[in-house]
Amino acid sequence: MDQHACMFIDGWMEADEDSEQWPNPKANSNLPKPREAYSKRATLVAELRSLISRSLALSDAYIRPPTDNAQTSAKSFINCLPDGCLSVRIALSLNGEINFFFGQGDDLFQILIDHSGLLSYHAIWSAEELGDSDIPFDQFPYFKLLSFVDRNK
Amino acid sequence: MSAAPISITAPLVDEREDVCRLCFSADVPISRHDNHPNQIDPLTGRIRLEEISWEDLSSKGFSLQRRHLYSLEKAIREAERRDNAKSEKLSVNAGYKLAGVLIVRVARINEILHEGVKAFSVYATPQPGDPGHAEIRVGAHCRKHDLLKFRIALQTALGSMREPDCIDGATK
Repeated sequence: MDQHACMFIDGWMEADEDSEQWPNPKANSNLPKPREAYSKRATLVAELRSLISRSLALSDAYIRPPTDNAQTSAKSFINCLPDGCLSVRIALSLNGEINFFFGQGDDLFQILIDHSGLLSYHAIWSAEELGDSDIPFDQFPYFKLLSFVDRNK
Repeated sequence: MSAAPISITAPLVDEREDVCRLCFSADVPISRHDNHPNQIDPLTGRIRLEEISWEDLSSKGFSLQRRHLYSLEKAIREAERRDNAKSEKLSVNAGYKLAGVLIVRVARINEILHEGVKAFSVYATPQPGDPGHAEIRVGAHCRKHDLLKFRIALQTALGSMREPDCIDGATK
């Protein structure tokens, strides 16, 4: 994990331990153990690499691989995901945008990483709508994603 | 910071028209999901959300065909053209074929609103030898996270993939 980039996550996890608004990861017995979480993150990074390799192999007039910026940002994003947010569908568009989908059906927390490597995200739940465009991965609201995942369990 | 959606000056397609999105399959990998038509989710028959991309909707254009200016024969020729290109590149018979089509009335796309204004517009963008070419563009008032929201509605509007011969169907 990118230690510097993820220090803030540890910070909010500690700060939110007593909060009723956000889930307390340490109180949730369903969370993967640290070694298991590390393994899941490694699996997600390997899956991303596999998708990128495949898009490189298939590249033609209709298929383009993600840019280096997008790849770097996506790997950092995965490494910063809280332990409770490691069930995600990763998908590349034909033109190389990287998508992360949390949730089921139309009830989704969507994250898009475009060629610039910046993130955009959107989700709706409990009448609350979240969204922002073109932010660095270390400004993404991981605690809100964790809240979305926790409420949709 | 990446660019905002590009506005184009092409004429809008009449909302009473139907537009089509072609879907292809092949005997060699042409997408990241082997054994399925490209862009289509096999569980739902709908276009995958990731294929409604920011780049397509904001700058390149999300390509369609105006149904009354298009035909199954032209769609099959397009599959053959792609087959020739892929087969030549791979030095094997790619087996590219037309797998199906998504068809939607333009009015259904126009009904998707962002702050009371159309989130998407369908423009007539004829190309040499392709007079029925059209494109969906996201509105200039939409940002990337707005597209993430509205592409779910666009996916629903496009519906499930139909048989290729629906291009020449009775509701034309």
